Amino acid sequence: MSIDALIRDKRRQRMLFPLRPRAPKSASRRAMFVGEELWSLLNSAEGDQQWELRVANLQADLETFVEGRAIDPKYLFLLYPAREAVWEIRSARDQPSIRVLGLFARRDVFIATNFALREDLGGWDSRAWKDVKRMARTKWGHYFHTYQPIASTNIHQLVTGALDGRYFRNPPKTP
Amino acid sequence: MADISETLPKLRDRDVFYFRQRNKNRLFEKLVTFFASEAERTGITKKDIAARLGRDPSQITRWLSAPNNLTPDSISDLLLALGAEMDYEVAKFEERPQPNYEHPLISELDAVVIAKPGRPSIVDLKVSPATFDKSSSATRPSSAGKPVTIQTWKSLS
Repeated sequence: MSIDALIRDKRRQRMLFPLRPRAPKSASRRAMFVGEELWSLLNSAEGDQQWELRVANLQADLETFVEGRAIDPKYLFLLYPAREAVWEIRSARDQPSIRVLGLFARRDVFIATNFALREDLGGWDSRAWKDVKRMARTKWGHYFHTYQPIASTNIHQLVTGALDGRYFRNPPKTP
Repeated sequence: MADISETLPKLRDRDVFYFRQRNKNRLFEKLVTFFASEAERTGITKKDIAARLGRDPSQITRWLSAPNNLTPDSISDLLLALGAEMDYEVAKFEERPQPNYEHPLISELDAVVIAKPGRPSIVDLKVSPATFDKSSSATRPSSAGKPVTIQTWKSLS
């Protein structure tokens, strides 16, 4: 079974949901499929104004990828270590700042596995970061079993229309 | 002229906020892309722009870091320093042409499972306790008579 067929299968099982632009007559030039928790958040019940603002902004921020807009490393970043191929999309312009983690099934196809509030994660080498990255890998395995995500530090192999830049962190220097 | 204010549905907060952020993101993308192309074409840097505007280079970096850092004035300043200005058009949704390309994995979708503006989109979903165990929630009857969960961010900190 191809990765596309698996994605379709998980969509039919309602394990993955396609994120589509809410604005009328907007197109998904890239594909993003989100896990159940993120889908539930984006379609959550009406809350107070702060909640509505944050959910709306998260949706709009994720659509930056979906609509094929130019992206830069402040928006999409490969988490360390690069071999795990876990990326984050930063919805950082409002409080609380949210990180959406995911992996690339193929070029321009992003599987958003999980998310976290930035304030809960601490420094980049914290236990909390390790846990959310492990969760991303675990969910990927749950969806796609032996299929591996695309592992590359070259953004242009993963995303059409990305601006040049440094999308990953160098390994820490050993003393 | 007839008063249509009572026939137009009230916009939901989520839709209003969504389109505000979308507008900022689209504008920001135009600016960042234009700056990147000009930098590649002419070699202009943020420092050069700062010098032209008599500002600190860190201010230019801040403007080009996030959509919410931009204002109409800073957009004008940035573009002027790059020898440009915005051209605007207003597009009515119903008059906007249908996009001619969509990613194949999306275009093949037959069932629309997402909420569209103008349609009710409140669903009776409780966010996973594993993720939002710190969030508070309350319930109230929806206009349809079903209970809906009200989410708040206030206890997330």
